Amino acid sequence: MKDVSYRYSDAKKDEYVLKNINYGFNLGKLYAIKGKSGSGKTTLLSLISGLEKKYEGTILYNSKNLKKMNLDTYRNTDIGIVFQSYNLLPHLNALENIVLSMDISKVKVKNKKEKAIELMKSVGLSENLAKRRVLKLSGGEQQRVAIARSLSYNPKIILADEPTGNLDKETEDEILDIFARLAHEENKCVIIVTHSANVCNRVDEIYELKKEK
Amino acid sequence: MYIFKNAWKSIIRNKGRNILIAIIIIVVSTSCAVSLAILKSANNIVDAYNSKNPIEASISMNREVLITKLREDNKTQEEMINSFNDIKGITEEEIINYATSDYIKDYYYTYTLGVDAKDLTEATDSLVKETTEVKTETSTSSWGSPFNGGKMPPRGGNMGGRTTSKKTTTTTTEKIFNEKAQNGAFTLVGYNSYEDMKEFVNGEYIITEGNVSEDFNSSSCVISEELSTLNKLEVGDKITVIDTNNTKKTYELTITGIYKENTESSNDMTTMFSNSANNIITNVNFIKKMLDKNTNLTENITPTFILKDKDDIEEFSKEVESKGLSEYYMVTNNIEEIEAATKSINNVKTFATTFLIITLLIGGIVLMVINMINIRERKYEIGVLRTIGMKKSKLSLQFVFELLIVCIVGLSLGAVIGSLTSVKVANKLLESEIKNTSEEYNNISKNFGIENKEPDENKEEPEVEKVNRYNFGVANINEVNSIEAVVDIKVLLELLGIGVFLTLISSLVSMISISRFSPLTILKERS
Repeated sequence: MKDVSYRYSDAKKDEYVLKNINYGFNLGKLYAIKGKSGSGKTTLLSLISGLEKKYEGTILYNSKNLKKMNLDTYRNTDIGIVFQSYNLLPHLNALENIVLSMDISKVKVKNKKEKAIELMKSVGLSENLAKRRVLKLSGGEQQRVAIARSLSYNPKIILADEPTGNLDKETEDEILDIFARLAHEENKCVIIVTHSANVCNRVDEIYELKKEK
Repeated sequence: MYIFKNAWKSIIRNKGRNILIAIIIIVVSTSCAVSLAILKSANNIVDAYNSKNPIEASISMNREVLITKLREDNKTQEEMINSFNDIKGITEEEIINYATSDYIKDYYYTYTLGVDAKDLTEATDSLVKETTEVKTETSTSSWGSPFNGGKMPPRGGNMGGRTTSKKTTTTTTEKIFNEKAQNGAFTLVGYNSYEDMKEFVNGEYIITEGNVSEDFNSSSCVISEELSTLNKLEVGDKITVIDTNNTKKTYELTITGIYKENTESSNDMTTMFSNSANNIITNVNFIKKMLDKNTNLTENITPTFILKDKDDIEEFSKEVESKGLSEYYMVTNNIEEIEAATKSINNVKTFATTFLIITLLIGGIVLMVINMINIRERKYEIGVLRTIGMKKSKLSLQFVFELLIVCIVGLSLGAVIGSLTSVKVANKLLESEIKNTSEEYNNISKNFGIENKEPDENKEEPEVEKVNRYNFGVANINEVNSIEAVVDIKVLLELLGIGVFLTLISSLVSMISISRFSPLTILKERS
């Protein structure tokens, strides 16, 4: 990220949420972006994920300018996003949520259902939860499904926005284990937006956003 | 494929919402099916009427122009009559020339010729003249009007001789009538085919004995009941007509049928005999044979041109004028008559069309509103799908698919309900028309007298079937009668078109919403 600044469209001219951000992220590492509420953590994540396009400065992915890329393709190929509120489709079951994500990304997988079950197992979900409606799963289980979904097309970057915000300590640790494994064993770049000290203790690098006084 | 799959899952797992949409579509499509069926039935009826009564043009004397001319020239009455008699009649060549027009689908013409007949008493109430001493005279004219000079028979009534009962008290008028009577007491009327014999088709003339010969080259004829009674003539008897210019020239005709003029059609209360009493109905070829042998005879030809389209009438008139139609003649048509007859059914059509438009409008608006609410409810889903990289176009397509599937199900049910309802509605409309058409068809068959004949088992083709080969310009009853055709493939396709139209219209809401929604904003709102 080179000199990235962002302000809301209805904000005053010099009222920036993010100003002159110069961050770099590498594969194989686990990052945390911390800061107080309103410091722009989620905004930063949305800029990296291509959900927000109106910013100043440059964001490069593999030396390519994000502004010049097809962001839909970028999101369904290179970036996996995990939200605090899981954002799963309630009318689908766990398996279908994962398979749909594969369908959208057009990833070439022989048997999508098998691959989805494999992913569920890798995030600690048993096979018998596969056909359960997501609303009938616990928070931790839903977040695991969301992680499995974000991994379904094997992206290089995993962005997680307060992924453990709604979870208890034990589950938080389990989820962080998964992220650590993805970064260190599967060579992915995992960026976690958080204000949890526990998360910050587990990551390789921390970026802190502070509000301008 | 996954878009369709996802759309299907969404429908199945959100039953309440989709059932509501389906109910609205069922109501709309039922109304549409009924409206379309009524429109179709109305069109059938109008088409049937139009095929029975095609747009016809004829050539008639333009009396207004004629009188104006005569007034301008300040002529005496005798001069006027002489000028009138000098106007040339329409020839067969001219008619054929006019009929080559691109605006003409078909044409026919009738020949009329004044003749005398050997040992035949004419049907006339001229006895009144003999018994009345005052200067009042009733006499027989070949053409029924003192002002047509024997050139053109009057339109719409009988084609030839007419017993006129106009009583005159002036000597001059009496003289004119007497002059007309010199053309011959009887009128030979020649036709080319059954279809041309409009008086029989319309039921003005009805055969009471025998039939009208199918052979339009034969020396056969049908005569009126009056003539038959007066002269004690029966079917199979022969009559001899005499050339009015040369009494030595005679021609023999065999009577194949006796007809009566429908009393409702001949409402001339002041005459003893009907207008057609002295008409001897034969074929054009017979009259032509007579004319070939005598160039002094003057025939009258009445053309009828069947136009392809009613909008062609003006162009056809111009074309005929450019081809040299005399200024004393004009092209007349039956458009007003036809439009007046189909007015009520056209009102039904207008009602059905208005109902259809209102239904579509209301249905479309309701669907759009429901879709709008639907989209607001599904904002979160849109946000999630956009976040995980689903393109706007594919997302829109999924929403269109969903609505289309619900639409097709709703339309199918609506079409079934509509077809059951519309059959009853359309039946009511069709019922009277079918009855009228059937009666008309049977009456026409009777008019030709062929239905009266018992089918001959030894003959390969029964007479009744022979007559059925001719439609007499009446539309095929089965076409009108076909209730199954009310909600047919055409109506179903129209319904499908309406469904697609409604889907696309209401999907526009989804498409616009999807293109305007920011996934991040949606998810933030959700959080």
